[in-house]
Amino acid sequence: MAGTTTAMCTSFKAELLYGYHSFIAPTNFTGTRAVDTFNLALVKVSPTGTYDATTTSYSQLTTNSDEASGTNYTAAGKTFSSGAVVATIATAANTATWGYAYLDVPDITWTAATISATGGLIYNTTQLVSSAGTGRAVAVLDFGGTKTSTAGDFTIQFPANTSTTAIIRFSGA
Amino acid sequence: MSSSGSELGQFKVHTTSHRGFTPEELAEQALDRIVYVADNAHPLVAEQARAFRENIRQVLVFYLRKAQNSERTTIQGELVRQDAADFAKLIRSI
Repeated sequence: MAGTTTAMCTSFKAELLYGYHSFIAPTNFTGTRAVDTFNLALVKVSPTGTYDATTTSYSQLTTNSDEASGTNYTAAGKTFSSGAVVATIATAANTATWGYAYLDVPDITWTAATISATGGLIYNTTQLVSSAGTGRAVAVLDFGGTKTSTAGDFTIQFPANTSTTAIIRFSGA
Repeated sequence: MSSSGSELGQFKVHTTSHRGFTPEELAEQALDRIVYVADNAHPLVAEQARAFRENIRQVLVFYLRKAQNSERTTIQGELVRQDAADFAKLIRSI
């Protein structure tokens, strides 16, 4: 069914094993691995495509002409400030969160913008899906309805950076 | 405690029309990041955390309002420097 469903993309989970996504510069890494750039693009009202765990790339948004548009919204969305992205891997010293790895990203705001959107797509703009040539999907956000700003601010606020609330979390518990 | 596997956290969407966010609205957004009270927290711990959250709220609103006014002072100064005193007066009236 067309529309958005909040989900971590299945392709993203598999791509982590291949090393496609780098949110934080690794230390003691053999070879070089720079930090990737990640964007958040908005999904327009009444999209024709389906965006959920099966979404694999940003191209699905553009192929269906489902990206939002408006004053002070630029196609491809906004880039997460890399310096504010924090990855935490819980160590044995902190037994309360042992087995967790989680990621925090900064809030994103379009200022003085006139936009209507029903969801968002977080994707990697550095690592491209070869056949489509556009960024690899990370997660889909469903806004639960139409959200509109009119010559105002449009903000996606991400949760507190803890092992139980961070926006992206993996646990082995 | 989360079940094993992968999870996506809860996010919020905030929008405004014909204005920016007020210091109170921004303080609320900041507080969600600064002080998180778990549903399963001990009642005494939760109570203390909530009290701390409210104390921080007052501080945040105060300084966000100061930042707002300070930014406008900077803008007014630049407008006057650029011989746009009328626009500076408009900013002052907001």
